[in-house]
Amino acid sequence: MDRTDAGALVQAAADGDAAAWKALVEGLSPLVWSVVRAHRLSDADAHEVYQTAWFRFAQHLGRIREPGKAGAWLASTARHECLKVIRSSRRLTLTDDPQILDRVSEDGTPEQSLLDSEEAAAQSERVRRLWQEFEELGERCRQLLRVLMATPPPSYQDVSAALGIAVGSIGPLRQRCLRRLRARLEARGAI
Amino acid sequence: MSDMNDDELFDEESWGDDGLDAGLLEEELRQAAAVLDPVPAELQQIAVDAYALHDLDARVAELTFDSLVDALPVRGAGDPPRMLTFQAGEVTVDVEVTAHGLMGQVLPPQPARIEVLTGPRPGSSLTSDDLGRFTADAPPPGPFALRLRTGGDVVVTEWLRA
Repeated sequence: MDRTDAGALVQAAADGDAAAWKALVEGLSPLVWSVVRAHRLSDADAHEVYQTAWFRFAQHLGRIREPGKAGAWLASTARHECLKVIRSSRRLTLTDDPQILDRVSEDGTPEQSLLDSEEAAAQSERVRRLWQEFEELGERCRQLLRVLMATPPPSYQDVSAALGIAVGSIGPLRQRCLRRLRARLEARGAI
Repeated sequence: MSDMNDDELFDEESWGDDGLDAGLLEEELRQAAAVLDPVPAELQQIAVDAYALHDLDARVAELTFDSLVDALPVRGAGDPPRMLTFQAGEVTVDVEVTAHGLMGQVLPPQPARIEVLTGPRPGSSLTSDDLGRFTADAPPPGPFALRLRTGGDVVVTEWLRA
């Protein structure tokens, strides 16, 4: 979501426009979810952190200094809550990656119905392998790519807020991590 | 959170066909994420409903102390209480959350009606005594905020997860 859009929607939502709020949620929800997923929290913790970020954003709506940076605001809030969860390690459990891989067959999502033909089965397998190789990347690359793959693609400002890394280093890191992922896929004959 | 600038993350190899390939692979990942790890629909609905938490009349009491971040761990304390302080102007709210419940005090001491919010729906109500002290028998199950009415004033603590 670009800054002009985000700024206008935050302003409208603060003025009482519920549709603008809904558009903000739809546009920035995948970013917040990506930040939470990048930090590998348990499902229960992930849900709570996601909610906390949105509840706090609603609470501060109208008081946010730079409405155009709503994405970075949410990403940074989610990150800090993730770090608190990790700090109170008694509540930390790691995500079970195989469960995520199973979701492709469980959910009746619109995407799933696209995968129902035979031709699509091959595509589905390809997606599954891609995801598996991604999950097995080193922690830093996995974290960066999980945030970058939000829909719509986040700005580097948002990524910086999400992971606490300098904007200037994101580009080179991204190249490096994608190169590693491609090498893994090639090694497995998956491309 | 570890620093991403260390180890061998930078190298001198070039990407080869560079930017284009990288962009395509990233786009494939984006599509994979949309299928394999999307925002759960019921969770996104909670965020939509959270618009109800937008409250222009209330002052936000900001979190100024959080034992999880600002305090050194106590040696030997297995499960120390989470201590939080919120501040809005002259009003301070101290809160202590344990596995058994929630205790707190409004300062300066005063009777207040307090609602424990756990989401967009109305929460449970408490009343503080003349010294501003209040208790709840159970800890909040997830994110929570306290909505305090003192006289004509409404103060809501910043949302957080205890």
